[in-house]
Amino acid sequence: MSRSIRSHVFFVGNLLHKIDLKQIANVFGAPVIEKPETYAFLCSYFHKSHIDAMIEAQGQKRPKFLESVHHYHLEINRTLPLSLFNAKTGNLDVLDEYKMSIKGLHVYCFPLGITLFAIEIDDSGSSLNDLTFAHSRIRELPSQWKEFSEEFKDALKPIKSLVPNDNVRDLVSRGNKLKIFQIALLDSADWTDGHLYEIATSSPIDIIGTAHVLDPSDDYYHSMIKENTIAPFKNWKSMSLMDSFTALIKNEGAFDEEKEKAWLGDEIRWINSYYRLIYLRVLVQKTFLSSRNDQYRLNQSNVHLMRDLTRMEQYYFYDNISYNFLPDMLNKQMEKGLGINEEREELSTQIKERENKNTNTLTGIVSAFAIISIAYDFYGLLKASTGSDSQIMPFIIGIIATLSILILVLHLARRR
Amino acid sequence: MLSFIIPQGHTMRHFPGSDDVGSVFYAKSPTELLTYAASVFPEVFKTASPDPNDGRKRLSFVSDKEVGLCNVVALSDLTSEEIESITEEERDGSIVKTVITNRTFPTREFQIILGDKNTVITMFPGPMAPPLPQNGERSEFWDNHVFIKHQ
Repeated sequence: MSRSIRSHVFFVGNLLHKIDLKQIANVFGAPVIEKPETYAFLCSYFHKSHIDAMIEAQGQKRPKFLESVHHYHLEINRTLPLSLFNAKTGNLDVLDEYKMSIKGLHVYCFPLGITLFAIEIDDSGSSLNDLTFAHSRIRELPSQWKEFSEEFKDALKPIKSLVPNDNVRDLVSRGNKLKIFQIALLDSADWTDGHLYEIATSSPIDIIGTAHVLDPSDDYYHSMIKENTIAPFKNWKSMSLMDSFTALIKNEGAFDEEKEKAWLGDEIRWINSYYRLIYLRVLVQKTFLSSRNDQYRLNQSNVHLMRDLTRMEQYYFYDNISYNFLPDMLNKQMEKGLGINEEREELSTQIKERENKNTNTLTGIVSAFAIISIAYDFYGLLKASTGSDSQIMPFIIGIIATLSILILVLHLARRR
Repeated sequence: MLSFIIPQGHTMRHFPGSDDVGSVFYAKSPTELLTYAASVFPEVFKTASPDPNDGRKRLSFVSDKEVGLCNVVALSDLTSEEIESITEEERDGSIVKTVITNRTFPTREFQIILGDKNTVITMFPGPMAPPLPQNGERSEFWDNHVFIKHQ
């Protein structure tokens, strides 16, 4: 049976409402403040502006817009069996081959009230089949909350306490699933494109080529492998999709003490850099863009759109975040998986449409004044040519002016 | 992955909150106990064979921790005063021994009986007890075990 030698996963959600920092601190304690040496180390690999947008460090003064960036972390370190119970059918599934240790819970605060949270799990040694099944269920936690064991739900209480009225569905304010960031060290025999696809999509293992309902079509599978993966080195390959980012690292031969040490270094890099500084950044982009696009589709006004967008462009939307090629490469891959460019284009279109509407409004105002002016000139001409001083003409001009203003008001009301 | 079907009702009788005065698990629910058993002893479930007579799987477990309180105990676990106070009474048409005591008897043993498609028939803490003897039959188990009644 194929197993992960080591595996680590973050299930990430976003909270719709703005949460009072005191409320988070009451549950999670003080925010994580990075030490100056850690900050200096990170700034030697990433641009300082990027680091300031993602973490809080001791003694670092940040731009006002970034002062709301905080990270709260609660250690859990509980090893639990995972089971799912459907009370309606009486069906209980016990994932006896899933080795779950809940490492901790995280809350990440960003500007404009964007709040993400993560459940961090180490599931090293799990069978790949139970691992993908577990991931497919945990990512649906907000809608399947009742099916999880009391012990599991108890471990997640600090996160649940952040949503109003304990409404766990609000743990995902955008979409229906938690996003997955996962890394797994696999034996070279298990390190295949098929397993990469299956783990990335939380599908049953060895499903490709079967007649199972989740067996992907050849075209879709090959396009995913071709378009959504990168493999800059021979020992790992990653796949970025809308719902997940997955990196599979290859292990050759016995997993000895030396390899264990090497893995710990790899794991720290993947978590502290690629997850913490890149994946979360792309999720911030995604959350901002999709919320603003939704506002437009739902015809909700947003008078701060341009101001917010300008600031986000300045702090979160530039391409080169690192002095090294790999972080930039991963950044692009993750942005592609989450469809960031498409969302940006859509936002750009809606901004153009809003600008067009504004232009139309201005044209309307100018037109109204032009009509009044023409009417007044006409009145002047009429008065000069007839010599009469009719009282009805000012009245007509008044009606025209009123109608123009009425049209203007209606036009503005429609714009809202 | 191990899958079970837990019918409502009967299986709750050995769990906290049940009106039943018999043996009781510490686990709060059948799902909690089954999750524990299946994750700690998966091989017991995977290698169990059905009884040829009724198709049921009778699984016995000995945990490394106490799993509940048992209301059937061996005579050897009783004090001499308790043994002297043993009386006999009728239960489900059989004559059984009972003892009144304030003591509780924690156990690490428990039993799970599964039917078709791993449907839970029953589960209870303590040893696997044979059926109560009928019509004056003798049973070595019931000769050496008593029911506990709390004062």
